[in-house]
Amino acid sequence: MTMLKTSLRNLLAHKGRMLLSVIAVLISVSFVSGTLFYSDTANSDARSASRTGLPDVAVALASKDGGSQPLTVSSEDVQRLKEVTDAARAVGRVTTESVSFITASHQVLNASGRPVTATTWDSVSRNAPVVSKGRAPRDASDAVLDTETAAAGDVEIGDTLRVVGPFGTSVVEITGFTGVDEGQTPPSAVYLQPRTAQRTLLGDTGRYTHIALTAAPGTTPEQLAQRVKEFAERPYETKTVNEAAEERRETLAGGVAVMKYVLLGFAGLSLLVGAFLIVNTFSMLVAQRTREVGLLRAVGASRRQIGRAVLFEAVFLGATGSLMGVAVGLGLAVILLEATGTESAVVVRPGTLLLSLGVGIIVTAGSAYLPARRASRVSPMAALRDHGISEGDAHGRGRAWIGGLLTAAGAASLVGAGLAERSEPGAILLALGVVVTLIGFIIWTPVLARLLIRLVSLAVLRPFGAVGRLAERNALRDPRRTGATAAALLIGLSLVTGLSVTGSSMVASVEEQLDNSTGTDFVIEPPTGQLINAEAERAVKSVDGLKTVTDRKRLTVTLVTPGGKKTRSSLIAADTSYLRDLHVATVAGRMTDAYGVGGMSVDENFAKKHGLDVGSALQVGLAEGVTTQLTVKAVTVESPFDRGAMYTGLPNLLNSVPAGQVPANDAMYATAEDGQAARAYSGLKKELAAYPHIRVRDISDYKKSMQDQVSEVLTMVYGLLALAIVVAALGVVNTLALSVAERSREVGLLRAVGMSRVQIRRMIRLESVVVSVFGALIGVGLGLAWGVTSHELLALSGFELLDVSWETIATVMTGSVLVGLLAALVPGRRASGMDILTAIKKD
Amino acid sequence: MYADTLPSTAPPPRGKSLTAARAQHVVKAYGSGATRVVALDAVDVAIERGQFTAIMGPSGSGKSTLMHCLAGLDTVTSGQIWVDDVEITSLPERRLTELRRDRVGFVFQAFNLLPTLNVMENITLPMDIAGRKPDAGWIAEVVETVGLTGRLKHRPGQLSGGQQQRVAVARALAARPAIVFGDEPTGNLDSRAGAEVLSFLRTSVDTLGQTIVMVTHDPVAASYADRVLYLADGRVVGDMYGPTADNVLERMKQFDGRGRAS
Ligand SMILES: Nc1ncnc2c1ncn2[C@@H]1O[C@H](COP(=O)(O)OP(=O)(O)OP(=O)(O)O)[C@@H](O)[C@H]1O
Ligand SMILES: [Mg+2]
Repeated sequence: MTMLKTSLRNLLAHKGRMLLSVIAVLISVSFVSGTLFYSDTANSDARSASRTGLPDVAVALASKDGGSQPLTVSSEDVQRLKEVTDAARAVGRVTTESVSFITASHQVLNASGRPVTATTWDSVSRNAPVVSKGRAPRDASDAVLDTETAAAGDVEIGDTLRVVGPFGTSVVEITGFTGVDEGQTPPSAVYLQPRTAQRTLLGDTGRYTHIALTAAPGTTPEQLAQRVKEFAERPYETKTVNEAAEERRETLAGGVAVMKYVLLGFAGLSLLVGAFLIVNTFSMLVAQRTREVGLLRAVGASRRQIGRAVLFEAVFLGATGSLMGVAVGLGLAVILLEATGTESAVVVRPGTLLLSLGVGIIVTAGSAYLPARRASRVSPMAALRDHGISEGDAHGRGRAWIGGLLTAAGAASLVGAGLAERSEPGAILLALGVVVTLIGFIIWTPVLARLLIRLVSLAVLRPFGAVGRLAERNALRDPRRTGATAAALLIGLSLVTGLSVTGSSMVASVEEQLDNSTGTDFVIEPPTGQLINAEAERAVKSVDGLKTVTDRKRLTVTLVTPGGKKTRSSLIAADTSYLRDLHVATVAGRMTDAYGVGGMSVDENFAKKHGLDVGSALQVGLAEGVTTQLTVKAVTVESPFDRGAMYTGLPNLLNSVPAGQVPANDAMYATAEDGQAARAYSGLKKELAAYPHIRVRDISDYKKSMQDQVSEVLTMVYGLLALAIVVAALGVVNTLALSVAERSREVGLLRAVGMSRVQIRRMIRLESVVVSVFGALIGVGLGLAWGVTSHELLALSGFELLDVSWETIATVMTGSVLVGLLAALVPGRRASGMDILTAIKKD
Repeated sequence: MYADTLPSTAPPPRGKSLTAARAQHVVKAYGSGATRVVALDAVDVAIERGQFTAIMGPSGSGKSTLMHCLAGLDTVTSGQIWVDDVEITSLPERRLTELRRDRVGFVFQAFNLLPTLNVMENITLPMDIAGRKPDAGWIAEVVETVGLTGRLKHRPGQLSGGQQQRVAVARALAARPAIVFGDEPTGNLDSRAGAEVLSFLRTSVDTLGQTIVMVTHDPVAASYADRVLYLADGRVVGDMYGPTADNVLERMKQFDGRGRAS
């Protein structure tokens, strides 16, 4: 009880010293709990994904050969299936996501980032959507859509909507909205009349992509699905309402889950960094209190009581920080939900609360464990001795060995990754190497501190004379403490450096490839998974000033190798001009031959895996029921574009596949007549203005958008890493502030013998900068090693160029100097403002 | 009766006035109202150049306060102080710091040295701070005198208490200050180590012409001085030249007796 009181009193006496530790716990816990609150809420949303539009059993033809077109069924098939399965209802439907909707104001309709499905209006099957406003579609040009998507796209009843499908464009009028069930996420869909859907989406009337079956009373959806399998004459696949609902739920939760783990990862990182801060705080408090602890031991407190007292303080501190963190976390969750457009109230689950508090408390107590143990080892003799416990050297050797061995192991793993022949084992080695070298260096930093800080000081502190020397000595005084402070910074900065090297290498490689291997002037691309329909294709081709226009189609094909192995793959069929649009290097054969009659190319890896070479013949399933033999005429090198692609000439496709089964272009390329580039570009933009979802870019815009994409991702990651760096900077402040308090007598002495306030501040500042720069140096070094290794791996996928972004490295180093300067602000002010006499008199 | 009038023997150096430090009507009060404590009550003292002055008096009599005020470590409530002919009570903080750095040396009772610096670095610290190059010959002489020649690369932690105090003395002398203050510099030492430090202080006065002011409770320590100032209740109550351990002790008894009588 007395011990408890002592701890409490200690805590209160050292409120100020604990402040930064509490903030560190607060930041990390708020991030953890914010993420969890957010994902709980978003998940509870996803859990109640609406079943609207899901029939008891959805039936579609199973594809057995290749082909990029959905397989369709006829009205007779629908009727026949109803008869053989005794279903209450069978409705033919057309559904696809390969469609874009353009609003009257030329905006592409989307539902907070999710694609909008086109489907036929079916009000008779089970779970049919219900019109909540306006009326159901009657005429062929009528359509309804769900309320949320309408709101997102500012669509009103009476507005027109352009439906751009693979086979054409229709204009529909919105006659109503379908209702949204309370607390459920509706499917974002536009409901079309069958005729419109068939014409626009299938290019064929009287056909359907699937059949919606409604079970007769007394039959479960599962039983109905079973009947389809037993009695249907055609190779149907079934999906029951439960399966489909589960799929919907997973899709909705999937995005949330990824985001959750990414955010939790960063939260974990800042928690790790915070742990260093806490370790330092407690080590320093314990060191300061050695005499007091010695006295307690002398008057009979047991080791265990002492250790427990320190741990109790940690638990109390952890609890305080975590509680505040959870409160801030709630706020974060609200912001996140708002940002992602989820408008439900934050779900607070007791489990999440407990987890967040637990994580905060356990990490704090865990971090304080070693210092607590050290406190419990203080001998009663310490009360009689003048100076604090000597920290440090005892573990120096073991630490150097362990750190060295781990670093060596990690480095070996990195080298292994760099030498790897294939990306997959390489990536695992890389991840392993990153984690192990990081841990190794964290353990090692105190050992490195001696060496590196001296070096840094030689370079930086020389001009500052005695003040510089004192700063250096102070930084070196307790290598373990300095090491922990620097290690905290190292974590964030090494990741920033590593990612920047990886990112800029990718960008540089892509740019180089673009420069070296592209002959095209314009790239015309719809969003992933969508196609350029014939009308848009004609629009492109109608532009003046174009020399060549390349049709490029991507097919899913089945391949049978000479060895009899059957695989599915994606095959690009394009005009021969594609060869000039995008040069593809070969290891064997010539690309012109691959585009010739009966020819194709395969990529290096595929060739290796299946023992193919120039001359090997492949059975290629190009479409349902259409199989041809193509001969390998070229083996290509991996490139960042069209990864793993196989190529063939367009005629090889057109000659064997019936017109109705030839897919629309998935991309187009064009070159301009000499001197016509500007005119052609504006012409393309004008002609495609009606298709805002299709992007037209010239090569320089294309390059720029590649850069933008990479830098957008990097910016986001840097932003999240900033969290860890902020906590680390707090750690620098914390260490400085505590050591200034610890050294108040020294400061007093220095002032007495004539050191000015300015010099005192400078001394603290220099110490702070040296420690930060030390952390940054190791961080940058480690990050470079990671970045170079990851580049070696990327080179396997064709990202050949290594580009170290010296700009980022310079920023990191300058940033670390700034962190050092900022961190020294308050401790420096406190030290220089210290009253000399109190400092000297202090016991 | 008392040897009050013994003349000082050391010549005033560098053609300056005869006093190295002087206090005139110095009042130092802490707090206000009911809790007001007057630590120095209109003190007038003059510390002569080239002399070893001891300050004695009962605990709480204001010895440390007087020393801190004379050294420019503390501000006064009223009155004036001159150090090396500079009036310091009106000096700004920055100039005071420079004064301490360049013209004043200190030896405290304990914790005089920076643990991160070795002996030599500690000795030259004030000059290093000032960015001045230490006078190598002089430093060698000081180091020689304190008997630390073989220890220059050691850290304070590796020295005995007496050795540490000697390093502190060496530091105080190294910058050739106008005056050196010591607040019970031998308070933490046993009599032998104390004697080492004291005889060193004495030597530096005799051979180097240094001015030293030392607060002490120990009559034996005081006997090393040329002059003893007695303080009681913030006032100077006695001034003795050429003290010996015996007559200092005698004097202290008197004061004690008087204290009890009043
Ligand atoms: N910061 C302060 N606040 C209030 N009173 C103080 C302060 N410092 C000193 N005093 C008071 O001033 C008086 C003189 O103190 P001083 O430290 O000068 O005594 P001293 O003669 O050095 O005593 P000792 O021999 O015990 O060191 C004492 O009464 C003390 O309580
Ligand atoms: Mg005193």
